Amino acid sequence: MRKLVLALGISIALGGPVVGNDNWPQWRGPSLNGTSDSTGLPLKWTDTENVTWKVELPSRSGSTPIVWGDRVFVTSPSSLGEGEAPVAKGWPSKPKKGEGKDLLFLCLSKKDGSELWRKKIDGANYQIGKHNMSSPSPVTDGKLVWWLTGTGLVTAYTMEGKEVWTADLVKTYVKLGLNWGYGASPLLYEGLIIVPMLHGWDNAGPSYVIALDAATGKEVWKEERKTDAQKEGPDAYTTPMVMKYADHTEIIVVGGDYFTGHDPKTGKEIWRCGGLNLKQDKFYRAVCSPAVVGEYVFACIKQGPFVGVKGGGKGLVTDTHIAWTNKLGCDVPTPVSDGKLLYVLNDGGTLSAYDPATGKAVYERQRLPANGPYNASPLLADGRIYCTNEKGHTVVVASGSEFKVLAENPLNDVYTMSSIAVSGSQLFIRTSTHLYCIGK
Amino acid sequence: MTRSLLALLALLATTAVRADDSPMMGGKPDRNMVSGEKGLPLEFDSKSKKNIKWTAALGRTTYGTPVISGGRIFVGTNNDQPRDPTVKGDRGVLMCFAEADGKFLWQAVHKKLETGEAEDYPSIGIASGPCVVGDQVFYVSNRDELVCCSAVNGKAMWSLDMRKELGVSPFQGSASSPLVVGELVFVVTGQGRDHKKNKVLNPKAPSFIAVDKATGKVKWQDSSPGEKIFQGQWGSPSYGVIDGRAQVIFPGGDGWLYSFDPPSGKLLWKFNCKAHEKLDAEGNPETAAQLLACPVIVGHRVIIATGIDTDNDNPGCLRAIDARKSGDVTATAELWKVAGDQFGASISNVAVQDGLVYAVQFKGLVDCYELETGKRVWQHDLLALSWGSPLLADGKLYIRTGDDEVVVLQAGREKKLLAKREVELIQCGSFAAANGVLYIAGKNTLYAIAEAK
Repeated sequence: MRKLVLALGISIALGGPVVGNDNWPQWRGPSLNGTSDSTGLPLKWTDTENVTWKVELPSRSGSTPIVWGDRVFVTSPSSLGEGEAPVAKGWPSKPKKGEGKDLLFLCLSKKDGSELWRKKIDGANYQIGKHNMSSPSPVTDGKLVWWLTGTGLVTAYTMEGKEVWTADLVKTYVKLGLNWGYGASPLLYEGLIIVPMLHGWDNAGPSYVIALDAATGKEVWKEERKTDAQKEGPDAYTTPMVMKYADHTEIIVVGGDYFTGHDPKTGKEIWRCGGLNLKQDKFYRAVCSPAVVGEYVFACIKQGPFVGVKGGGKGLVTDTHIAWTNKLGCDVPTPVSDGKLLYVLNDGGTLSAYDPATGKAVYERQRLPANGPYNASPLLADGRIYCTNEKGHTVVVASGSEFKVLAENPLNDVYTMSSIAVSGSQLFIRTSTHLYCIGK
Repeated sequence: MTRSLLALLALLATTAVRADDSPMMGGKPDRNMVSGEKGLPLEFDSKSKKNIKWTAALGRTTYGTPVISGGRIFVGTNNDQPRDPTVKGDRGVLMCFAEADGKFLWQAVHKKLETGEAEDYPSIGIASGPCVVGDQVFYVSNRDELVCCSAVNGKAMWSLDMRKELGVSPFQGSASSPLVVGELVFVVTGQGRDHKKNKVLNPKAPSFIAVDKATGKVKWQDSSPGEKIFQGQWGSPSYGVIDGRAQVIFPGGDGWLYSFDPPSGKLLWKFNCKAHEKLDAEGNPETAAQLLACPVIVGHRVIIATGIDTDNDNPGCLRAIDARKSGDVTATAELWKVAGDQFGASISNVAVQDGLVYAVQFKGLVDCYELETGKRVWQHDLLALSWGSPLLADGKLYIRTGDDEVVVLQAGREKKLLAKREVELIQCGSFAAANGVLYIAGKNTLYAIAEAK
């Protein structure tokens, strides 16, 4: 607290940036929605300009770095070193460098990027398309930091790097059978680590949503999550989100062609809503996570339809609780909202903005100057939307009802899939090769 | 003598069908996406049925291009909405409909390959656009068989199993659209790379073949791309007679174009369409862009773009190549190219008319270039991805987008948006037009679109 007051004092005295929230404890940040209260964030940078530090990482990863206090947590496969991780399935869109077999959990100093500790969590990394088994992002409460590997190990460490517990979800529950390998990040909520295990392509076994005691790793509840989706349809790469309305709190899960709302205490399904896959397409695997805005939750599978559901339902609510839909949408990037407007970044490189309550388009399909694909989810902070494409180019757009590009910031890369993390007035961007700390 | 005879046969073959039919992908062996149809509608609406002449249910995934010949329409799809209740489960299906009213006539059904997604990805159905000559329909099944069946009832006359007979191993799917010229059927076999072992397991197996139309016997075969195939080979050949020299031109999975003397299979020329790409330290090209579009033949020029659809940020390259030379013509036959940040990946055939080339970049840009110089005349942003090939008819350029729209632009030097229409689930595939009707195969519905009389 004193530090914050001091920082505020200095900032105001110097007329410089006002420091907002220092911690980015989870993939979508402190509010679980990709927004930050921080101001004075960098607008322009290159791979050498406005870079406070950058460090080389062992290999590529789709996971987003998280920040707590003076620490940054990053996940990565090992470097090629003693042999390449096997390629489970290739659809290589570009020639790529191989990567190692180990799954590494790294803790870096926020000050200069120096490595404080590294742990090998598993030795069974494999490559699958653009993705590997390091894709889920870690989560922390400042006391412990948890990571779930794509191979199904959930592990808890102290901030100093001491292992507290590790649980093997595959051994305990079910083999993960996703067509493109597991990639969901867990949700930390009220002392629970909530993990979706939604799959079906390679495995006829059941899908679950599981809550583990964050302190011990013991199961608190387990809910089988049923679906009539077929083939690849049951596969989901989504992170559960929290929705609060009236006196309810629900955990929202998207995948297998449905939204479901769950009781956080028991995991029991309260409501379920379809509408995400109108034509029963068997390849409608869910990638982007639900975006909660007030009493609405939005999701989209494979670019459409885009569906907004009003909370508060019971049972099957497809006919009663869909607030609005449209045919545009997104596949990988999760939408972002400040409560006023909902911004949908399409993978192909266009941005749309809607009134979240009515679905009225404020603007639609505005072309960003950097080409798609966009895999990272947009960040909304400081009156701007930061959109990072696969090459690591971040286009900064003004938030609000008028589409206006403010800056385009190149970082020469081939595989940037991580979303931006924010701490104070700094941005953390993980490319396939480096972690950048941008801004002062 | 043989050349001119073949050219004559080709002429006979193409005139044997009705002039306004579209019996193969692209309508003609040059694969130029230009149709002679007039009066195709600008106004149509799949919901209100305005100017929708008829619709027919397909499976639920349709990559095939519809072809129209002799009063029938043929399109490859899957079996997710079974026409025959006794045939259930995942299948590759070729459906045939009556051109007049869309009445379902017959279907040819193929089981999925036992090797699964490695060679025959679930649900993709038949992706090949058939080629129809008289009462014979030629297509490639999901099992990588080149099939000749009866246009009347779908009964197979012969079938060449390219995996079993020729040692081919396709990568995830077989998609080539055959081309019939004279007595020969030309097709890309679909030979591909094994993605687990990351190599072409049987590099001697052919990539390009010519088959006797009557018997299915292989007349010649060529395995040129050999071990250099990046992934699969899903392109289709084109044919033309250029300065008196007949040529069948194949797009290779190594990014090269290969032109052969049609009767003998003797290589006439080859061109490296990835020559502009830098190689990395291990000798790998910069991108996995390859040739998914068909080479389009216009006069002495061949026009083709490079690209791949999984990545819309890949640089592509659009080229005009002089097809009158011989040997490795990479250094000598390039007439112009558009590359770098000027042209992204493209998987569409171009349309060329009146000295202008219309090309669609996968990321959603429609470009118009001068055929002579390669100079850009205009560009239109679709604001949506585009998979299929455009179709130019009656001065109108029809393009479909990944957001389920048909965008119609005016052909010519002046850029003008004529119409934008929403049609459900039409992300992939190409248009066809025949006898006054525009056809769009959507994922689960075939639309016949014409001005209501």
